[in-house]
Amino acid sequence: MKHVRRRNAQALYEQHYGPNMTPMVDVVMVILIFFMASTAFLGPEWFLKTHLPRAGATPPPNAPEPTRLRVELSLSPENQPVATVGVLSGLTMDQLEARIDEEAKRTTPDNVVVLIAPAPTVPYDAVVRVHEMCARAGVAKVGLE
Amino acid sequence: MRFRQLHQQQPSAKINVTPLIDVVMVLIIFYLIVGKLAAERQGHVELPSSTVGAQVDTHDPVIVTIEATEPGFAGPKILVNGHDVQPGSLESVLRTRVAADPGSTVVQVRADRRLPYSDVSPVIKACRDAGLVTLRLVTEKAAGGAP
Repeated sequence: MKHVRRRNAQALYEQHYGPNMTPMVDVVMVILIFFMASTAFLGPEWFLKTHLPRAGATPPPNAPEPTRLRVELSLSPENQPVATVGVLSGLTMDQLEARIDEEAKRTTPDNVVVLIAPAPTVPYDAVVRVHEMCARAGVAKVGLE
Repeated sequence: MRFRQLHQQQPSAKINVTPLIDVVMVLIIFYLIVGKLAAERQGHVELPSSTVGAQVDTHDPVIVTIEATEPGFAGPKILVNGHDVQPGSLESVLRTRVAADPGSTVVQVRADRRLPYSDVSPVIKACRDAGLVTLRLVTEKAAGGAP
């Protein structure tokens, strides 16, 4: 009686002739982790779009005259980036942001054109900072000299 | 005799290492690919961070990387799609790309945040002289940045 039971269990095991899914599940899981990890890896970069203004370029006809802000960046004696906008000079980055915000709210962000003119010694990081301020204020037309 | 036959038919008690080898092989391939991608994309560039920006989704962009070099070197190292380019020949390289794909050439600038603007401006000038109207300044997404 005992032998008969054992035989039946063995026969039942041998009758299980469907495909073995274990390796496939393993590989699919690893591929899933791969895509999740690569998405996380490729994700943390994005970009700021900048324009390259050309001397002598003609604006489109019948276009409203935009408000132009020329932001001259330089370094203070304390090696901190400072900006000059029109008659205002020595603006800190916070003051510059407030100035850009104010101009964007006074008209509309679409009607503001910002031109960044950095001095050669200014770190590239400060240039991107100004670009970021413009993007935060909704100003899309940002040029780089 | 019968007992011996039954004993021989019992399944093997050895561990099946096939799935383990599968997983380990795929993990090795994963790390190889990711390592290569990381080396190509990141280079030795410390990107500036920003809380705003647009996702990079362009197919086949021209990636201009400006790496900071050790003090004492003449200037930064410039790479176009991973290949070293002399600053003097950058404009012609870009001009060739613009001529091959006029109107839709996208240039992404990946410059080190520590560089002075004097090291970046020749690249900006070369892009302008090559006929490009816009550029993309690649930044690192800062924590708390909008999606």
